[in-house]
Amino acid sequence: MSDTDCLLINSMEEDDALGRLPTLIREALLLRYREDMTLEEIARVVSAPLPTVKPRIYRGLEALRLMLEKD
Amino acid sequence: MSEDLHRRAERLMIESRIAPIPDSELWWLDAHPEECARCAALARATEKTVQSLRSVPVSAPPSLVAAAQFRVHQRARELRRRQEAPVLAWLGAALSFAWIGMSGGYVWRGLEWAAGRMGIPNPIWQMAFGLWWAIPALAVAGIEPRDEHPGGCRGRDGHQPPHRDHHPISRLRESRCEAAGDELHPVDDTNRGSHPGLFCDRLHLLLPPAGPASTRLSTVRRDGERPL
Repeated sequence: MSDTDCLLINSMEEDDALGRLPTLIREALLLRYREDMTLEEIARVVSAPLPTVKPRIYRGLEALRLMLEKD
Repeated sequence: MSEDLHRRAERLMIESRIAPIPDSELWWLDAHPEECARCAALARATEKTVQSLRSVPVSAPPSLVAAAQFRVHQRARELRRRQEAPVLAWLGAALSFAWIGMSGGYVWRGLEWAAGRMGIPNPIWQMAFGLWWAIPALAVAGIEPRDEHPGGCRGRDGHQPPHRDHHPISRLRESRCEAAGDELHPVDDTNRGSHPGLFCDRLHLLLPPAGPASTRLSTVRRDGERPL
């Protein structure tokens, strides 16, 4: 089993770039890019309306990019 | 170049990485950074962000890795046994049929003689002879391996795995495993003194542990290096 096959849900350090994002946004980002889920799958998994998923990912990417640029 | 164009480029850069965008917008987006250094830098930063997300470093504690490896080896042994089993079954059946073919006449006469001596009614000893003929089928049934966990996802003890009502990711992964008829096994994490999750044989994947839907996502690194 490779290291990347293990994803644990746990507490996250607040000073991590990803950890500073709101939970819902972080969750959507990881589901989209780490789990390669479609927007429909993410909506089903997080029990959220489909139109709310894309804005979450959008805001997350935007915020993460800004944070990475600052770092 | 107007600010609106930059904003449009920025919006499309992100949207194109979330879901497919129309070709016309994609072409425009591809062409725009060539004439705009600011948007080109933005495109690189966006791509870097997505790449970072895709390569979020995650790992498991050594005990989990060891448990997972154990399960993988165990699964490999099971598969090997299943591959060998049909050959043994056919061999056993062939030997049984040959034995019965050779000894059938003697057994019939022997049973008839013994039943006559002991006053056993004909239907009884003839039924006993019928059972004699069932030996090949019984031999095959005895050799054919049974699925240790029939019916798809089951825990190691044959019951449904615990933690049914937990995080959505876990539920989706479990449903994917269940759809594929995979086996899920609770994995001990001695460092934590609990079951941190279920291990899926097919995906070689550790499903997340139970927890409320509000549990925060995280990656856990073995080497202590800070994740993204």
